[in-house]
Amino acid sequence: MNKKNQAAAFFSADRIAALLLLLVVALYGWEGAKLTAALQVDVIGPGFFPKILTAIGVMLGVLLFIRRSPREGDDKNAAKQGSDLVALAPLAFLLAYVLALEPVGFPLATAAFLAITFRYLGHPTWKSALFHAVVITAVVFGLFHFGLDIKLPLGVLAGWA
Amino acid sequence: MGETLPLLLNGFELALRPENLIFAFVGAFLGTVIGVLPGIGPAGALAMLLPIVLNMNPVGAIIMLATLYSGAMYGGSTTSILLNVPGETSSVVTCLDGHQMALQGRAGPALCIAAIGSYIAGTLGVVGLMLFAPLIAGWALNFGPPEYFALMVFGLSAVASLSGDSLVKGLIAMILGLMLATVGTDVTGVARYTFNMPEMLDGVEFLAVTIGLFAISEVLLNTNEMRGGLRQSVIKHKLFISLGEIRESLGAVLRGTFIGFCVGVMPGAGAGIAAFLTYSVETQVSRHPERFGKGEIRGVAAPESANNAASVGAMVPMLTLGVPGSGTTAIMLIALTALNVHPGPLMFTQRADVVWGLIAALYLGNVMLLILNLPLVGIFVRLLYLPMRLLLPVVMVICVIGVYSANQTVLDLVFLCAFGMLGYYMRKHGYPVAPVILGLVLGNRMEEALRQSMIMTQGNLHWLLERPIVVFFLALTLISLTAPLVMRRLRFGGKPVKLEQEES
Repeated sequence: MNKKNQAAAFFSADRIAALLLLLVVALYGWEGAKLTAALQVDVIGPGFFPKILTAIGVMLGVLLFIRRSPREGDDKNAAKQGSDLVALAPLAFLLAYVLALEPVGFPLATAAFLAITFRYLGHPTWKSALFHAVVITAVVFGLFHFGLDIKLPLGVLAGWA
Repeated sequence: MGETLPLLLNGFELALRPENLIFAFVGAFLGTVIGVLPGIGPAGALAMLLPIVLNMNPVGAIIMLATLYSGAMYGGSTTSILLNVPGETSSVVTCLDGHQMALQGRAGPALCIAAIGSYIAGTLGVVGLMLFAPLIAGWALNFGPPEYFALMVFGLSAVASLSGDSLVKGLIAMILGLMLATVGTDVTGVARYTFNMPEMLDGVEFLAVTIGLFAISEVLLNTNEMRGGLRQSVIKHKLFISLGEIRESLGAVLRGTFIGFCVGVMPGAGAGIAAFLTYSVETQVSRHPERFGKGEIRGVAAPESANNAASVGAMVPMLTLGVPGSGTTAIMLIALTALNVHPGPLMFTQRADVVWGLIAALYLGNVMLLILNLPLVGIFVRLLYLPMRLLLPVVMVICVIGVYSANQTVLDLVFLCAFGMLGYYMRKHGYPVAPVILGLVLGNRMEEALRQSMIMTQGNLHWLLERPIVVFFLALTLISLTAPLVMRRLRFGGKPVKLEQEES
């Protein structure tokens, strides 16, 4: 086994997760240590519970790091890893969509999000993706905005409504 | 029971009003539709529809939640039988014999016995709930903060240890949930982990976390697996079941109901384990164990009854103690709290109408499913042919609307994306997501119970060992943490039982 493979074996998915967890828990504990009680009578104070959680979190992080990796688990995960990008692209579209929701407005942002995601997930043509997106957006918007009275942002279309 | 019967009748009176019947119907229908859709289990279904439900009046909302829950559970069995695609863990076992029956052209009887078994189990489960819940609620009236604290420690550890494929990963999920719960203003008015953002003072929005972890992550996982190709369904219509087959399965249904209910009451165990356990009991009591796995009708009847009885049983700790034992009941708890109904022992005396209305609604859900599912099964199955590339993005849009409608802030939506990604990672790497939700739901109450216990005893920890009920729950906690080791030894049909994914 060469050096690269050894490193890959040492930093298994679980170990990387363990390090991330320890980082998060450390930041959590650091922030928690700054908390001070607002009331004199409070026996345990606002930082007590976070301290317990920090301690347990550190313990679990260490356990996850040192424990033996599950037998078949790693291979199975490695096989799946290549396809992560397939799933993360829709997540990126989703993030762009929610950030655009208020400035651009629900109708336009939704139609754009749907068209792009449909196409990404294998819709045959842009024209058909856009058509489906517009129709579905209209139905969903009508249903929620008017039917269920859930107010959705109109954004650039605000002047029209 | 003498005093509970009139209360239950009141509940039925409420549930049977025309508008509530419509809610029950819509709930059962939507629940089944979403349950049938691949990849979206009952917890995801409930989370997605929660925002809509919360806009309704409390009684209607509770009825709809109850029927959604049953519908989603039933939808999972339909796909197991017809397509060998279990919608969630609890219907994995149903695939074994159910799909074999479908392949032999007996899909009709398999679906019928699933519906009938679920119906009988649901009915008896409701009776069990009626008998047990007031007893437990009465017992819990004596609980002080130390007992509640110990109970919540037990509930969380049980869910964490039983729901994943590794104890450490389950506990990590739990601790993440508890950490999230500390975000926001605490009871003494100190802002914690808000990073000076006013939107964070109320804490992290439950809906964003729940929908992100359960629904968005499911969508992402599905986009990942989309290239699986179309599944072939088998429906050869011999729709109705014969009396002989019903008679043959009755024993299995009753055993399934009993085991399922008992398992369901325990936090963490839930419908999946109930179904596995019942199936293995059936193979042992049967005179023809060799028929199991080859289309034995009792192999469908038993787990289907068990998972339904377990889902009713799971309501017991949620309603009587306010401590949910699974992801789905945690979402129910969030919903009830949002509707200003606070589950716990006092609810049985103070909001008896709501409790019995809910119980009646659960029962009604079973009836609806029986009426709805048998004739409509052909339509539900056709749902599976909806192109996923259209379905998944639309599900995401509905999730966005749901989260946005709660507070109208984009921050919640950013959390939705973040938790969607976290959920995707967790599910892919064998972390259960249900303990996160449970930790988030219970965290503040746990801290409060701990604080009150410490105040009661002026800051020392003697209370841990001086109170018998506290000791009892802490002992159960120890047992639940060692249970996975025992479970792993349990063998099931020659193969080790693999309890993957969270119990929903």
